[in-house]
Amino acid sequence: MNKILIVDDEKNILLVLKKALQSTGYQVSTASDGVEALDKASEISPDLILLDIVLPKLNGFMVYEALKEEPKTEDIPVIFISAKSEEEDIRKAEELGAKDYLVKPIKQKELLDTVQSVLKEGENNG
Amino acid sequence: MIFEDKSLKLKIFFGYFILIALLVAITGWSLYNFNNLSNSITDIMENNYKSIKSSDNMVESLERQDSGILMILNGQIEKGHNTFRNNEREFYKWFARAEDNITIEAEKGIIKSINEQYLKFTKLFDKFYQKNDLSQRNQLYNKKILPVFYEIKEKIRELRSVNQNKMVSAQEKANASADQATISTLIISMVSILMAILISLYISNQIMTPINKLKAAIKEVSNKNFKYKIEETGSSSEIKQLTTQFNRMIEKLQKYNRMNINKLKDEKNKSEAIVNNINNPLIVLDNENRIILLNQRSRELFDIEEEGGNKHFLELINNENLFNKIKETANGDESSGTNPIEIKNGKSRYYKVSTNSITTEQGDLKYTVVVLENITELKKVDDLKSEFVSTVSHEFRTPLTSMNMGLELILNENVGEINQDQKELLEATLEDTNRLNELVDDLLDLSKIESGRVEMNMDKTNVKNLVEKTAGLFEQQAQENEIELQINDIPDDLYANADPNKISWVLSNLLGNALRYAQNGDYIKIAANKKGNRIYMSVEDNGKGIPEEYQDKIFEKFVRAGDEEEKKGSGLGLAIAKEIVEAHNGSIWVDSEEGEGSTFTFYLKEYK
Repeated sequence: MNKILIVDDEKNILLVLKKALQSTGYQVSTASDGVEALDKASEISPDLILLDIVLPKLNGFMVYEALKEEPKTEDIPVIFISAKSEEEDIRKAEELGAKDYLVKPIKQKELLDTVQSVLKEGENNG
Repeated sequence: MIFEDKSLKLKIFFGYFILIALLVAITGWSLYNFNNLSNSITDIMENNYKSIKSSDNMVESLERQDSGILMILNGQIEKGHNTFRNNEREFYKWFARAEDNITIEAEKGIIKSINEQYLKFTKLFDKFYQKNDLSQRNQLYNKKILPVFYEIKEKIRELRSVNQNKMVSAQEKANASADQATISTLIISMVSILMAILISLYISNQIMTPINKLKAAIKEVSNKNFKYKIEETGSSSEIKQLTTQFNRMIEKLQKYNRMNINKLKDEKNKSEAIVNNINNPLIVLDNENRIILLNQRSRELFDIEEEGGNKHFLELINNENLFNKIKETANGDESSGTNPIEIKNGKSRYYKVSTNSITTEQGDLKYTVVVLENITELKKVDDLKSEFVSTVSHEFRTPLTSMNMGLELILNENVGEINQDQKELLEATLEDTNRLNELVDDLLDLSKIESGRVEMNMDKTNVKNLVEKTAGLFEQQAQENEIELQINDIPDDLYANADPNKISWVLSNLLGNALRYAQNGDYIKIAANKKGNRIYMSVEDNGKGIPEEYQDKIFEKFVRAGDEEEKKGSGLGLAIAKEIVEAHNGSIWVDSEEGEGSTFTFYLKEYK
């Protein structure tokens, strides 16, 4: 069973994402700020991280860079989530090496399809 | 000159007077000479000729008397005596004439001796007649009478000869005086002709000199040289008056001209003051894009200090973007004027460009009046609005995501079963959540396009491909609703200068709208063609049409035609379509009749 870490400061988002992924059979952990996200990531070593860009303490890009610096977490695939649809943000996410990018509002099907394809890719590579 | 200050009329009169006087003088002189000649002839005729005639008659009478004596000697005494007496009377008659007509001193003596001799002759005849004896008579005749007879005859001949000589000398005198008269008349005539010529020249010169001066002056004045003045040297009062009046006329013309110039100057100053005080930059260009007028605001905006008259726009204002925009606007590109242009001078300002062409009566372009409207403040407010819309939309996204996903989780029964009533209600809620999502999407798109943050990636775009691809997306939906989707013949080589994604979006929006309002059996036609350098694309339907009152408004934000119940979509689609088309320097509009259908048309520039 794949472990997924969801990082978002909106507790309602955390809730629906968690329910959606749980209902499909993933094991879900949550974090609501950047620091907590890094702690959780090294603690549980998830198979995938859904990372919001706008976060308290450390923002999504900073969290991503920190993850990549830590050998334990550097291989974890990351999907960015943001209400920001600016091309600039998407380009930055791509440059950083994010696996994908989900723009709010996210549909359930879109979420599940993206998560599934990223995990599958990880498995094939791993 | 004696004519100085005399009137021209007087001068001409004097001229003629002199000529007439000369004519009279010549006539008088000729008459005088004729008279002299005539007198000479009269002298000859009356004096000498009479004397000669008298002499001849006297000789004749004398010879007849002699014949009478001879008759008496021949025996015809009575007849001879009568003849003698008759001719004696005749002789005296002629003698009296000759005596009356003594014109020469010599005649007197001759006449006197003739008289004496004739008395002697008649006395001798009396003696002869009284003698009865023929031989005595013969003796007396031969010895006494005959010598006297010859003597008288000789005297008379002398008288005749004197008169004849006198006649010859008179004729010579007459000839001489005729010659003299001819010469003197010739001389006087020649002098007169010469004088007449001189006088004519003088008078015509008197008239022509000032007239020539006037002619030159009029030429000068007609060339607007109002400073010209004729010297008042005219020698006759009429010319002087004319010159004075002429100079006065020039003075008045000059005044009038100056007045007109002042008036024009006033008007010009007024216009310039108005133009300079217009609060927007204003530039007037001629048909070769030379700047002929700049107001104060323009000078400030473009940092121009020089007068700059007649320089080309780009020479004075080095702003090619602005120049191109002015050209586009002046060429009737409606969209160009509405897009503001940024002009930096210290700080950046935004201007809306409007142009007004001033044409000649023949319709040729004469001037272009360019007014720049400073819309920096408006632009700021607009940017603020866009930013606000953008921020608000972002803030909507997060709650919308949880609402949407939460509803989907429940509806998909991922978190437990729900009954039919619950399902229906949740479905309605999800539909509206989706609509809210669309609205937020469109709002964001619009604010991006409006604020210019979306760049148009203009490229050579094949119109046929674009239309077919876009229409393909709607084929399934059209089939499901039994709506006929037609694409008219579009030439393969039709290329637009456009951002294919954005134009595809516009076309999609138009097709989506058409499908949204269409009913089973309706048709939708897509057409594209080229007119001039524009490519027109249109989407036609035979749906219910758009009420006239909405036709102008549907391109505004949040406007939808039709009933409240049927509201679908955000109401921003056409507003975005309009923004996109205008960002392509194109234009979009609708032709529609309620109940008949609508045709949406937009145009783009052809790719060159």
